[in-house]
Amino acid sequence: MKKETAFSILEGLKNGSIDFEDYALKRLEIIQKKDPIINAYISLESEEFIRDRIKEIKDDLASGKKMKIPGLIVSIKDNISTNFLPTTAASKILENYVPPYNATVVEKILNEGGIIIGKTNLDEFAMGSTTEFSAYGVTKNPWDITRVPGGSSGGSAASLSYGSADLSLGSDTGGSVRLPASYTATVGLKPTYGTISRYGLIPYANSLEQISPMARSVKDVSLLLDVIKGYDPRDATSLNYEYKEFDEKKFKICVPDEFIEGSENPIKSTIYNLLEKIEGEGIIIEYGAKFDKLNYALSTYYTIAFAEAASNLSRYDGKLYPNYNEGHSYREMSENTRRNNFGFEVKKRILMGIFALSEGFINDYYIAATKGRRLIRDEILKITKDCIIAGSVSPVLPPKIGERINDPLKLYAMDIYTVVANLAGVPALAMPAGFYNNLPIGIQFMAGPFEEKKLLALGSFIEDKTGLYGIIAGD
Amino acid sequence: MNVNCNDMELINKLIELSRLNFSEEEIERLCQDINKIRVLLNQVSTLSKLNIKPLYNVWDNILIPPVKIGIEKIDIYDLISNDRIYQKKVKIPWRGE
Amino acid sequence: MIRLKYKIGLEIHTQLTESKTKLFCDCDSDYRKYEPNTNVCPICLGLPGALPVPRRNPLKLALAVADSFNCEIPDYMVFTRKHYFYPDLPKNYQITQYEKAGGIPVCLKGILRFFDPDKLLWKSVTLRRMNIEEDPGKTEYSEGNILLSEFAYLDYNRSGVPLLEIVTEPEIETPKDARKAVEYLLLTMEYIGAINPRLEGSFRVDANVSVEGGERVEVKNIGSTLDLEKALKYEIFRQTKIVEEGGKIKRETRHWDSIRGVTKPLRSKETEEEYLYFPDPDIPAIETKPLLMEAKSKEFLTPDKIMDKILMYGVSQKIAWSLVTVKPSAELFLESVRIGANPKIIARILAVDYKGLMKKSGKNIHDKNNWPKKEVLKELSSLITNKVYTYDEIKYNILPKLLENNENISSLLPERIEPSNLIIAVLNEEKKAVQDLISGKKEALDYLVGQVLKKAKGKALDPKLVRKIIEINIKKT
Repeated sequence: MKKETAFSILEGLKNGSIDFEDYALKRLEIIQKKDPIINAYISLESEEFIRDRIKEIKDDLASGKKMKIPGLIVSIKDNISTNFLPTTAASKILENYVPPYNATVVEKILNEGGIIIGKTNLDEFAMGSTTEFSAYGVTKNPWDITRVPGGSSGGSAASLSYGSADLSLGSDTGGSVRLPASYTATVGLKPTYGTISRYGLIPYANSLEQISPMARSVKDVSLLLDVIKGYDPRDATSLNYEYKEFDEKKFKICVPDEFIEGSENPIKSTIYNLLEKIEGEGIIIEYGAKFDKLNYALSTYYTIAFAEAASNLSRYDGKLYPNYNEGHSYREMSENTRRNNFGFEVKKRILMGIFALSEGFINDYYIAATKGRRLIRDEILKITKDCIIAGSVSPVLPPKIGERINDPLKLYAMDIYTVVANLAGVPALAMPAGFYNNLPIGIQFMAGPFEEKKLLALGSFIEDKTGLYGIIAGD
Repeated sequence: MNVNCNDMELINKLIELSRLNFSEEEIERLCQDINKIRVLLNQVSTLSKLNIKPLYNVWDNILIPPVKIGIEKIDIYDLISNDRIYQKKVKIPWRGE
Repeated sequence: MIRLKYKIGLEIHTQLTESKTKLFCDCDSDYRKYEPNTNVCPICLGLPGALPVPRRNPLKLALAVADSFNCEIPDYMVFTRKHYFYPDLPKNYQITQYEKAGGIPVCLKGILRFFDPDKLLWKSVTLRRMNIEEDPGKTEYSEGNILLSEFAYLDYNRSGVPLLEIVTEPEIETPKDARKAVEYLLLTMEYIGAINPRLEGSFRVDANVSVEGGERVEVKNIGSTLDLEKALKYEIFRQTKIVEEGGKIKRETRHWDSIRGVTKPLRSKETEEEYLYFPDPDIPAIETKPLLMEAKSKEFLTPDKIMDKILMYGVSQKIAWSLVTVKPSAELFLESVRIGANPKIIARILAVDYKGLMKKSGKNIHDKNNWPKKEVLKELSSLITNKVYTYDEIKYNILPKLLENNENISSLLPERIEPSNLIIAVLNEEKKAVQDLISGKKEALDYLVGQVLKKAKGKALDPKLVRKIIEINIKKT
């Protein structure tokens, strides 16, 4: 298996063994070859643009500017605003919309020398777990093109998995980078809520989501996290913080039954095997811890997500965006625009969100969910004070295309293990644990708030042990 | 509408509030799906009576509004084409609603 | 016509025109000076991914207003979203502070004390609440008519400008009191530096009236305090007539047509409005105390405090109130008195004579720069108290010139001349007028005084003294 990490490329670019232009243009070639099948990208940069960008980076390097990722290729989920490429959130309603500004994270990546090669596919407005609900076609799993790559950041995961980018940005509202990471043998970290600026992220559920780094190794994810983190005055939920320092390589891991036992057998055995392999050498593992609040995690999560989504999406009525439908009156124009340009899943979630907020129902749904959220958060904070929670990312192996999307409950159930970190605001890491019949299986770790360094140190230790990093599908 | 659906009244109200629209065939699926989703969401309703403070911002945090935010003005022409602008104003069909 | 008992409640929407920034972004709160759609950014256009960041200045001003009406100010304020589709609302929700959905406003209960200058006494009305919210953009209808126009034309320059909504309990007793209360409220906000109430569209009032035995009627969209009084008078008249004719007042919302001077029923919606309020997940709670402390670091002189200060100098209540209603004149009064000017003389100049001259010549009395410097006033005051000139000499000879040049007084001071020779000359020339005066025509005296002043060619003469001398001369003959 060929291994390619962002760190190894960065080293090669630095010592001259890899040429900036050759490397970058080779990525475009790979995309041209593979993306017609995989469909990881919604829009791509031109060769000319990339040449100019490399010139810029080289000039910066020559003038002595210190940068963290000069020359690395970055793909970005298409719900993160860029003023040089359209940003559609995979919705027809934002077709041809080029934001007049860059997201804070995009500015940071450019400032650190990253080359943004294109915008990746997702479920429309990040509402989905399979990347099948895109207005721009389904993204396929590079490990098995009859299967989904997970979602909603499936395009980002696939772009990494088939080797078209070194680093990628996704967004994680309820598992949207972790699920795809686990289905593509890549790594995704959902950081502590408030530590990455959301300015420029097209919102699905504001109180739950964070822009999240993805890569083919835990160390690469650390590198990207270091580029995008930090307080931003343009996001009122952004925190003034530092990630907690962590030196000592001692980890206590607990594995509550609820976070693994409901998974398919190959997933359970792969994870238990991995845990067994890493036990000792400073790692203590405790089984049998309890987390009975998982019972209402999904309903709590979806109620809040729907409510916030319905509100966020009310702005798309055509009046300020390039794509709109004609109408006799404003009511007609907005109805036509929304009817013709939102997908069915999005419409459904809008309706459910309005339901959860409407008179007569708000107390039993939205408000009840905010109470459930406090219970879940408090419990997770309590557990993670003592140990890092380990378990499955997904209860199932990568589903076949079309297998899950016809039954909402089946679809939503895929998120059962991942929504907890979003409800609780804590960081969670998904990384490769092994394979079953050539299908990737991931493991999830969840730590206390601001414990990203600890989480990444553990992940780095594990990937060194397993050798499951830098893997490119099909090579 | 000739659709087999118990909750049509509620669904119609939600459609009205959301400014969405569905074909008959979609309505049938919608009705099924919404019934299923409601079963899921109903699990949360059991918590409504609990005497717990709602959690709206996950850290219960307090905002100190910053002095400067540094966002620049933009040009409306960056968003929509000229034919949708009349005397520098955004032109929208109206007719009273 | 019978006299029915009634109660009035008000909902006053005031724009914090002087807050410099919009409520959630750094665009200009003073949107009036811009070409359409040039005072906009991703935040106030509600572009996907742009986030509202509460700005300090609007919040501080709102808290200062709440504080000056003895409000109960909650420890935190919380913003909520209110959803409805409208072309002028970029996000199709408005960020406000709705209590019943987890929101917390800036003020929960306060007292609006206001001065009634006709009866010379203070009255009060209870404030139920104050909350901050964003103003929508501005809609123009292609044929001018909200119901029939084919198109709406949108200018989003106003979108996001901070509005402070102030709600009173329904306990105001007369349309005139309603007007006085709003005028006083606006004056207070002007003193705090929150609003320029003379800017077009800077405030709007919705008033509700309940007559005895009838249901509450709301009158929306009243744009001036004069219209408020008119609209309420009309509404009470209308409702009284209905009751007189045996009808019943039903609950409804009406619209004030200021051109025709009548209230008209609004189209009633088939369904009750549903706004789907919930706390805005983009904005954490904001602690009020630090902002209020910062706001109060400079002392706010509210009209009542200024009034008290002015009264301490022995100025009459009427004159004092007249000073207070024009902020620069009240401030100038206090400043010049502080450096030693005579309070009564200055009050008379500022509240009566100079103000009159400014109005007559079309000068803006609310512009500080149109008023004389405090040093000039002090000098005028000492010229009078030292009996160099009389008050009238100053009034007729100097005040008009100050309108053109309010910087330097010494060049304006007239040469003082002895009137006797001029008077004798005039009496010799104006034989007919003298005859008229002797035969008892009083107007002739005014004429003669005028002629003497004319001959003085701008040199200082006290008209009273001239009059006296002429009278004495005539009596002698």
